[in-house]
Amino acid sequence: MPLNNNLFGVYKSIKVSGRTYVAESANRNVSMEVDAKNYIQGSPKARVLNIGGTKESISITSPILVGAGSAVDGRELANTKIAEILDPNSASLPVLESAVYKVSPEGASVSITLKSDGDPGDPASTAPRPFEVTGREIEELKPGFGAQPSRVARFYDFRVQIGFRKFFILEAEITVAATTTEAYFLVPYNTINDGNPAYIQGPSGSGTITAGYQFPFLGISGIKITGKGKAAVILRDIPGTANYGDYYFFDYYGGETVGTDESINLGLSRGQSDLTFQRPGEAVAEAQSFRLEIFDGLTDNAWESLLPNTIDTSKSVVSTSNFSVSTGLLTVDFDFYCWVQ
Amino acid sequence: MAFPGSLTRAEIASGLLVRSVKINGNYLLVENCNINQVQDIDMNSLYLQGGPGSAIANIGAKKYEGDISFFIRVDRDNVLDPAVIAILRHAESPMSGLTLDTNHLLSHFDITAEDGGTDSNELLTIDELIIKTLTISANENDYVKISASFQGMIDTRATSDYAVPDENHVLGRSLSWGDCNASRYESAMRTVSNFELTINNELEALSFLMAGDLAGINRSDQISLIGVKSVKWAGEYSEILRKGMELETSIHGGWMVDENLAFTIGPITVSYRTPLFQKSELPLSSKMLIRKVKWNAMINPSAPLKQGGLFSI
Repeated sequence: MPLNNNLFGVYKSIKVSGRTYVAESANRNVSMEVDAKNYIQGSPKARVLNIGGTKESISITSPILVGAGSAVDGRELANTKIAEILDPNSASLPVLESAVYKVSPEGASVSITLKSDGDPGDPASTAPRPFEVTGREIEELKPGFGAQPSRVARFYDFRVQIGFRKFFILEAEITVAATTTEAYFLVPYNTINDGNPAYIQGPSGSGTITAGYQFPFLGISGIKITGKGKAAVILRDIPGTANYGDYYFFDYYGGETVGTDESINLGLSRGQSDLTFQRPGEAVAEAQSFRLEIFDGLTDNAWESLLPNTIDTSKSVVSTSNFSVSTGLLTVDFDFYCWVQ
Repeated sequence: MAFPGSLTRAEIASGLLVRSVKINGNYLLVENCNINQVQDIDMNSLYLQGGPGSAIANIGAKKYEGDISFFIRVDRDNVLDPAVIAILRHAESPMSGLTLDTNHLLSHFDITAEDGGTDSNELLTIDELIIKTLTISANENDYVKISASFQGMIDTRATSDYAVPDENHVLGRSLSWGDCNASRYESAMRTVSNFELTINNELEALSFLMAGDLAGINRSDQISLIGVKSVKWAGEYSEILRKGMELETSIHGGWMVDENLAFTIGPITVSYRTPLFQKSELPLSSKMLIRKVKWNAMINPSAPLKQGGLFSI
């Protein structure tokens, strides 16, 4: 067998919850807790094993695409899973644990971590599995599939604003993290044992929940959105004023009390700060909105949020700001938190 | 304006029948102009996608790159071409861009990924060209020649005008070895047989994400800006060793403060007040003994911020 292309992952495509997505890489990790217990047993040999529950995690790195491929890219997968955790009725395994959107001039990708219960399921079932690998060619990537062929999203496809930091942004990253809890339940007394496995019937009489097996229940108890970015900094030399003279970082564009700081993307002048400081009895957000948007050239030729439209993250707080002066670019790294509405 | 060149069914010519270029609006007769719009356009192939075919394009930032070479010309009044002065002034102080107009090069201003193929090509002024390297070479066998490499972009979509010769500077001549002189404080340098003066401007072409309040129509896939990170002035000359030459000519390296190493090229004087010499090289051959001397200029940190630090015209 001198030729065997099955060795190469490029011939494969992945499915998550029954839908195909294009990915750079994907990992599915399943583990089961096993430990040896030693008792007063007359031998040091492991005669008793303690076998616990299973865990399944799936991590996928997928590009953000423009064109027909945008229907099967990492953003589509992440946004689908974010929408599911916001609406329990549509949730399916695997559930989102975190989604990290990374945007830079070189390209953009989404790193997604999903969690499932490790249940291999019924071999006779044709229902979608949480994670599958197939040999199916992704139709959406055919150049003639839709209105446009596919390309990776680049710097001209994104616009970013984190408060007043909106110019010369080199990279931006936003993380949507869900708090998931795993729980294992004992076999309930009142199970319906007319099938395999036993199940608990839901209150409405329709839904069923398997219980008493090694596979955990997964619950979603929170969602938070954080991010970070890196921007180049311009320090302009604005002439000083009669009262204050010409001091770097202390001059204002258009007057002594109003106008623009000498620095862009950085607060270095007196009374200015990079962080979103709070005041007693008041929750202070950045004076300008948070935006991480992608240009939608397919439908309405407008900017749209990189995250699902149902999430309003316009209010943010900048929590760290690290200014770096070197012989290269002047840069500032910053972290931020968003209120999620 | 009608499209130039072959789009109007050809005006194929060669040599001097082809019109030259304009630098900052001034006509410059060039030997060669090879400045083109370049862009990283490739396919990304390695995805989990169900086959080895390259299906996903990757279209990066575009900019201009290339080089020109030309002989230094003076008119009948011994006045330099204004374009040459503009290039030299910019090369020693690259703090604002040069413009280039040419008849032969069509440009694409819109986003390539959304307006591909042959659409919307225009004759535009390349209005932000920065000199990356410039070399002035002089020897007895050729005219004094300048070679310059550029990076740049189009900042503003401005329709170019045809580059036609400036009637006031048509007549002239190229400077030659006979127009050159070299000297330094310790030597009259009468044995120099050729020299090469170079400027190296280290450029960084950066691309940023679009600004947070930018309208979609104003997006651009060009590089966002160019920065000049470092400026280095250097050179080398060759000396023919012969009897009767001065004693203090074998340079063993190191700086020479206030040495005022100077080269005169017609109306241009290039001076290095404090050269930092490398050790001179002298190969033994069956022909003439020729010693090669190289140096870098030690200059004030702020010297490239203003013109006149290197060239006097």
